[in-house]
Amino acid sequence: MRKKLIIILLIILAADLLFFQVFYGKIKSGGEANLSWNPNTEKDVAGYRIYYGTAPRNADCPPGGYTDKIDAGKTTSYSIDNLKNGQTYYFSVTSYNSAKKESCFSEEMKKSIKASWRVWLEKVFK
Amino acid sequence: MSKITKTKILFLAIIFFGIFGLAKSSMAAGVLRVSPINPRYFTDDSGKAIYLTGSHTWNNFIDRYGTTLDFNDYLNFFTVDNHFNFMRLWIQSEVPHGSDHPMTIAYNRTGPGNASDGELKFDLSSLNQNYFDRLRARALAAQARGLYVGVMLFEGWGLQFDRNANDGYPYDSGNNINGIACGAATAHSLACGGAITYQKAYVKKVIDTLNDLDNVTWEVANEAGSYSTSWQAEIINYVKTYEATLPKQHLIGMTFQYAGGSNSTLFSSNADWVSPNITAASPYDYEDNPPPGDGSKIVIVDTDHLGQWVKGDANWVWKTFTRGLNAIYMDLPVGSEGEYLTQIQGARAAMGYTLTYANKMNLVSMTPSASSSDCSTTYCLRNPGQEYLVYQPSSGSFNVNLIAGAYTYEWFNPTSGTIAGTGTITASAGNRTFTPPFSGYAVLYLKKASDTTPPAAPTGLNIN
Repeated sequence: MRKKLIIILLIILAADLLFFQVFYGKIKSGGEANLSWNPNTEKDVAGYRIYYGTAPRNADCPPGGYTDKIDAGKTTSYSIDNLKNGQTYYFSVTSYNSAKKESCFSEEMKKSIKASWRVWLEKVFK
Repeated sequence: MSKITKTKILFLAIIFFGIFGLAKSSMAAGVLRVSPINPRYFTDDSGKAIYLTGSHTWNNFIDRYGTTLDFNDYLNFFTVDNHFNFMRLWIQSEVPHGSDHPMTIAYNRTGPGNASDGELKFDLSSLNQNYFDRLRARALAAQARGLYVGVMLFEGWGLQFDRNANDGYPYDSGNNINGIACGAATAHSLACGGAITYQKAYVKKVIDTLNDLDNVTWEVANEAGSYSTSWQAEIINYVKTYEATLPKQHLIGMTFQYAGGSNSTLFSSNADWVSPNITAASPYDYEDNPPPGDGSKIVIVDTDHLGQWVKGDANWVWKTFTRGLNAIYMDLPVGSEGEYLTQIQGARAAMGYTLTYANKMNLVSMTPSASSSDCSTTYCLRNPGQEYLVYQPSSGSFNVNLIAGAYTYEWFNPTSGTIAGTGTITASAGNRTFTPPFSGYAVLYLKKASDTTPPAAPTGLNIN
């Protein structure tokens, strides 16, 4: 009887963990990329934009042929999720000021995406 | 379903949702506190200056006038109709108000025996849980609407001026089973020695009820007279000492001691913020020509303490805001404004407009100036070279002393609530004359024009 109760409790705790992770976006169907960059030194910088796609950019300044764009706001790190597993993505970042004047691209970086649940499991069981 | 099965389900639900609840509680902006950068204002974890403005009325917590306030409607009045961010909540635990006996008291009426109002005597050691449940529910509801709440722990005006022999006041002789016989106003002084023990127990319960909330600040008492100074200091010390042992520490305010008080007592107190009466060092007064906030205390100017109500209008709100002070309004219940309706509606609208500008500007870097050499109207908030907000309390042209540079400008008509013009100017150093594009009260907002050169491309991009 006691053993049965312990098993039930373990199942419930596992369900808790799963619920928590799913609810807070830790486990999603697609993979993710975590980007960070140095803050600009200009006082008037109002935010940053992230450009990405599955092909390298074709110019040094926006739009550069990227298929997706995110306004990250005034932050220097950002996570993009729901990326397609097994796909390689290319990323660049720009800055803009309060007059909405935008810089050219940062250096371009690429990442091959693994499913985030795999990443999570690897972290848990490594 | 058996009782054991129900118990198991409840137990499992507590485990399941308990973890979820703990995670959710970490999403708040942090407790309201004094800005270390600009101590005229409150702040939170964001570091931004928080200007508090809003109205209050006597029955926003206790049931009076034979009715219970529809609190949801009241919140709509704050957030939908008027865009306030602060509510002074009259919880006033033991208010007598003989002519209008309140139905919500912090203490249980257990008897034996009857109080002077014909109902059972109070047990001051027995706190009324319904009262505290309502307090938490209303503070949470306010938080959900983005409102800060000033929790008024005690009410002193009624104790002095609204008593009668049959009001059943809990701390008076014969009205409680604890042998407390403070009479009149002595319950709010240390002269009635036994009372403070029960008062602290009540304050402790209020704190325990709300300590986990970020949107709360305390107020010792509304207009407890000059006799209350050492008692208020005792309550402030108790609140600070007790909260120091708890997860969160909230600011506490001391408001004008009517009758017989002085603003100097407030400013020399151990309170974190104060609400003065009308008086200030010449040439100032808090109604027509408020003194610029100097940051020695956060000042919440409350029309409640400026004189016989109804005091204050839109002009007062703008003057108060541009002197680096917070403006709150002793309102009347909606629908009972009578002859004061236009005045009150103007003040309500102005509080919303000033809050809009407070949020629009980098307020934490702005200081007030009443010097005509900075702005000829003498009502301006400045961050020289970056931002200026100037209020014209009469009509026509005025001067602003600027640092050379390009600025965007915005004319706001506070009477109509509309932006009447925008553009860009290039200013030389020194005084520049501005003429509003409309007559009457005017607001000019200047902000350094953004650099039209694009910033540099970011460096150090890293991906994992």
